[in-house]
Amino acid sequence: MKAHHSRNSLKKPHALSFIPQKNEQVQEEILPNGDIILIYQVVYQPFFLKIKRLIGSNKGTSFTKKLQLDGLGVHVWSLMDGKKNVKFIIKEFARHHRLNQREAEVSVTLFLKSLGERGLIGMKEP
Amino acid sequence: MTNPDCSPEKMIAWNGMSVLVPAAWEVDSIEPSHLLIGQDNTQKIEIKWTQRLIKHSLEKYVRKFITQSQKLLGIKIHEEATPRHFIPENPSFNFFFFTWESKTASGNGVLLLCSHCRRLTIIRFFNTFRWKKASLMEAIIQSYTDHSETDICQWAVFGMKISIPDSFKLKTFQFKPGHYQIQLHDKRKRLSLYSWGPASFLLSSTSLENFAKQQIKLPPDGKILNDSNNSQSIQWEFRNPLFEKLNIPETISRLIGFTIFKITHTEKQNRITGILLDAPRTQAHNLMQKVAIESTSFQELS
Repeated sequence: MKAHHSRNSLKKPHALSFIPQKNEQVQEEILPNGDIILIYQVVYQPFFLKIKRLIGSNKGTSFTKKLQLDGLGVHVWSLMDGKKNVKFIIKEFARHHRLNQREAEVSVTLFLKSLGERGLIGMKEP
Repeated sequence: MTNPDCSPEKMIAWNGMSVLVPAAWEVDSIEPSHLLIGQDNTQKIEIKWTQRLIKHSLEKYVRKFITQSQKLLGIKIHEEATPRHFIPENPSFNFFFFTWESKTASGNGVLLLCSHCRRLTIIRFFNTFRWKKASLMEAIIQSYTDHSETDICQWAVFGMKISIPDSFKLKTFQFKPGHYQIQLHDKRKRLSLYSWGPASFLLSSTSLENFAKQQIKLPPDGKILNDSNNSQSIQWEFRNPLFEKLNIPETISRLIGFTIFKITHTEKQNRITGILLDAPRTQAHNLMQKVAIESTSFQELS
């Protein structure tokens, strides 16, 4: 048997009830094959800002980055309408692609996590 | 209508054991001889079983189990009398019922020692209840098996359903989203089982044959086995290219490793499955016929 410790972290059932919100400043570019490119601004880290100033480049404090979503990413992105919660998105993703529920849960939550880390989405409490 | 929360109807079978659980329950954590099963991240049961054969009596292991559990997990174990109505459906099992409690949780459990295969199993429930006839907990325990009655062993996890000869032992496994792989061996024979998905995405810009070649190093031409609306299979059979060019006598060449790889795309399940078998030529085809893999990936739950 294994020890099971209760952590003071957010419980998963509660986390799955959160509603992903797209960052309104993210631009979308649809490619002919259906993929989507997300274009977003990233603020320079203070360290790089100092280097920029040292070399005499004062052109802004942020730069543009792009992220290309494949067919599966596009599907999850399209499901994020500001109303559907994470649990619903997982269920819909599993149903549409006929995936095992756990497999869909891991895929979608990892994807949402990577979008969140880039600042492309936020999470709204229900 | 059956309530999927209460009726044990889904088989989870892994590395020799099998158990029926409600359809909504899913494996949360998987190791060669340990499973944590839950629903919406609420733990329901934990199953741990021994791979090596137990030599002593259940009583001796009960004492050891109580001491170790209390020391390692900080939980208290209390022996519980076998429920009066309880009649084991599998007579080869000896049972020890118990309750456990930690600072934050408590529950029931049972130790099972199989007199047939001498394996010891612990099933721990993460809730406390009174044993009732025909209850879910009893149904789960009654459905538990730790060995196959035939020479074919069933495996069923994460929407993968597999039948393989019982002699194959688990070597490694991985369950990544979109890519499952289980590797087994039996002396010099090696068996790898694959499941990829969703197929509609993976095959959107390539053929099944090219997809197979991206995954596994294969000779140029495969043999198309069947091609229907619902599924397509391609099979490759080859010897190690090092031996291919040598003029080896038949008596020796039939003992040299021979590889069969079969890949199947099942449209209905939106999944691609693969079987890779390395075995002496004389046994390979016969063994391949005993291996089956299918996907039951998506289950519509109410």
